[in-house]
Amino acid sequence: MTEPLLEVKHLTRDYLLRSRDGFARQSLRAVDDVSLSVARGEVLGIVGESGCGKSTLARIVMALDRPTAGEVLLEGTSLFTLGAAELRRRRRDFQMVFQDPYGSLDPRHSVGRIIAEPLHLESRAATIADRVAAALESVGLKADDAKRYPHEFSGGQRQRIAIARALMTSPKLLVADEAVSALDLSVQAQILQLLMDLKRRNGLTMLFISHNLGVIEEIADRVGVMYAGKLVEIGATGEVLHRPQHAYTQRLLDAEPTLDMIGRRRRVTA
Amino acid sequence: MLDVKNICVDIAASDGRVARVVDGISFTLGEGETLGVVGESGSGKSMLALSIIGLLPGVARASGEILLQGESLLRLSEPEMCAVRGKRIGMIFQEPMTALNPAQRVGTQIAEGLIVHGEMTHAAARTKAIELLERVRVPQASQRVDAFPHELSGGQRQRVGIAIALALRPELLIADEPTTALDVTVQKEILDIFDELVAEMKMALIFISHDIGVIGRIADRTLVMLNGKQMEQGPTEKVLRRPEADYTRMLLTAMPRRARGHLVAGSAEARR
Amino acid sequence: MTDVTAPAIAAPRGRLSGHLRLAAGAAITSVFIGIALLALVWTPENPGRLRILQKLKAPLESGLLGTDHLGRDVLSMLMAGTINSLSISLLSVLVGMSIGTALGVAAAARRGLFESVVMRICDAMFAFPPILSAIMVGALLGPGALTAILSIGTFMVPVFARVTRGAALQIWAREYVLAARMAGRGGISITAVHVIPNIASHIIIQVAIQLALAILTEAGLSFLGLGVPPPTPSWGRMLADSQTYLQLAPWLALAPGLAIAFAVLGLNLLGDGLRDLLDPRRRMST
Repeated sequence: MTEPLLEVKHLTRDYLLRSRDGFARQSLRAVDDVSLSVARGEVLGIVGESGCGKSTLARIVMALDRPTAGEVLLEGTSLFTLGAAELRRRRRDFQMVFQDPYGSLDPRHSVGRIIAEPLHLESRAATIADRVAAALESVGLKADDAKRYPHEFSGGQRQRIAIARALMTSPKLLVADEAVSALDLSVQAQILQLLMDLKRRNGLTMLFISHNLGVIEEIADRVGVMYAGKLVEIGATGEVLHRPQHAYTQRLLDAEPTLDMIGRRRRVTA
Repeated sequence: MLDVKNICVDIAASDGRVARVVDGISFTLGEGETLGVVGESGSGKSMLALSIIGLLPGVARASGEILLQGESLLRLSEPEMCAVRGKRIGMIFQEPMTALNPAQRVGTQIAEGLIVHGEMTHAAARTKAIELLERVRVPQASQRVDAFPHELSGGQRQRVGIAIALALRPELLIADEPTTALDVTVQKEILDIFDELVAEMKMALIFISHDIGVIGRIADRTLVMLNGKQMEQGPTEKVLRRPEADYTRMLLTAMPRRARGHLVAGSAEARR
Repeated sequence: MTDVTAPAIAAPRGRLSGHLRLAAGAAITSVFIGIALLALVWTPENPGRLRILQKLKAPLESGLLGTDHLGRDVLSMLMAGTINSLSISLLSVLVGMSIGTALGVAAAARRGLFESVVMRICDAMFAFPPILSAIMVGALLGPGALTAILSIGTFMVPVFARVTRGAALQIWAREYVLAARMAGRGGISITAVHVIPNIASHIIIQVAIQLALAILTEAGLSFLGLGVPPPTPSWGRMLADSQTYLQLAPWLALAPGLAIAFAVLGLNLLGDGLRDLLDPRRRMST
């Protein structure tokens, strides 16, 4: 019985907010007792609207933020019980691709330097250059793009660079936080395809976060729905999207504009 | 009602080169009709909108003909154009937070146009503002009218933006990606509001979006743009279900399956 | 179908004057640097040479700018004073910049108690204007270049600390810093590799502005007798000495006064021009 690659148990994250008058402290529960698991090789989608806590969840899973309660287990090891040095070593195993292709690459670094950053602790320069070239080619760019700078590339190409960077350490888990949301439609489709190909080739497990149900349906095996910090529903994609159990899931499904709606306009209730 | 003929917009770059960001767009729009303008980033759709309302940046120049009820808009001087803006053409922008003045109450911002154009008293304008907020389905309008933008949610701010645009009952409303920054459930409500208003006030609406699903939902006719040029134009049903241009077909195949719905647009090559 | 063209494209006005500012500022500053360098090896007369018989001669009567009450050649004193002004301001700004930047980026990286303490210390330093600190330090060390540098430099530290902390905090919020954390980089590494290169433009601009301020402050200190003592020529002291002879020999006040004014003008224009050059374009790529 293989254990899941990623397990999240009763994760809670509270933020303390100063109230308007500066005195009273209010507590905001961004993530509320969320538990889930991701099997090896699976793509778990997390869908929800703004403020539902999905990005906070992603950051905690990436150990970029500490939870107020609960644990995150990667291959059985609890991430937050590790010492700093050990955690740093473990970071090779999980990487993230962010939403904003314009903010996720340092404008002052060359593409090659950006992609090689996860390897900054390793010193064999020769192999690094080769690995960077290989990484660029695996995401559909050219080896000598390594010399160029981020502003010379389009949004979709920059996401490819970000993906190449994320895969440099051959991670087991890739978290994509709204990775295609800022891209044009045609580019979105290409990047999703790229992620699927890379997943197959590298045996990746993915946590794919998005507010767009259509994108989730394309890429996720299972999907979890978040609302106000809670995980309200989780299950196989087909099930959740066609036979939702929770009222909120139904609301999300109803709200998404599809082409079936053409010509159904102006059924206005006065 | 609105007749746009061969609009071109040129922009002068800092090194002196001139780029043509809108290249020969033409369309007509009647009362109560909605035109959806769809295109990816850089397609020129925003520049097209700005050229109609006369808010192009200083380095841009528009040529062609824009006729509003027979009157040529491009020939108007800036003061004349000011009289048109707000009163005859209203505009709604993408980012609800930046389109509103954070230091002014929303009621004041809605009333601004009423006072400047309509020569209303402040008291009368305030009453009208509350009325407008109710029209755009903002709950507790009589209290919300005194709120500041940061006290409202994104969806509510966008509704305020719509109320501001509608205050003077313009003949033409231009909405540039008004729902892009909003959650999908909020988007649904905003689109419903647009439907109601267009039906009630018989406004012409130009709705710009990169989201084909939204365009399909709200537009009677659709114009597809790429690099400033028109790729296809026609009734929405036809453009989206039986597209003629390759680009339109490509956009439709790029859509996630669920958004495409149960139809197969144009040539349906399997994507995986 | 008549084609109508909207009113002509307006040339981007801001950009032209921006470049003009930068060019003017750079030109004026270079002139002063040139004079200082020249004065290191040559001045028309020895600035310290007293020729009582030639005292209070008008410009062109004796030397290009006349002589002062002790017969010293005003032009030579002015040129030598340039070395003084530029070097003291440069050194004070360097002191302020290095300590201030270090504190600022450290505060942005560490946050929490460390940041609060650093910022409060900076607030305290702000409370002591250079004149006041010069008097205090001068009492300890006596008037001189070191006193001036320390007093002015101390005032610059909180300025750079504030500016760099603010700019650094913005960089820390960027996703590429998150990516660097994911790659296992620590605070110092991120500060060196990502933060400082991305706030460099803010620092450069601040250096230009603070140089102008430093020159003005140094002149003020010298005017009050708290700067470098004689015989080193100093613009501020020239101004002070000229007060007695204002009606007799106005050029004695005009020369150093205009020198100070133009040096400050040049550096301010340079700072403004750099800001126009570096900031708007940066906004696209940062």
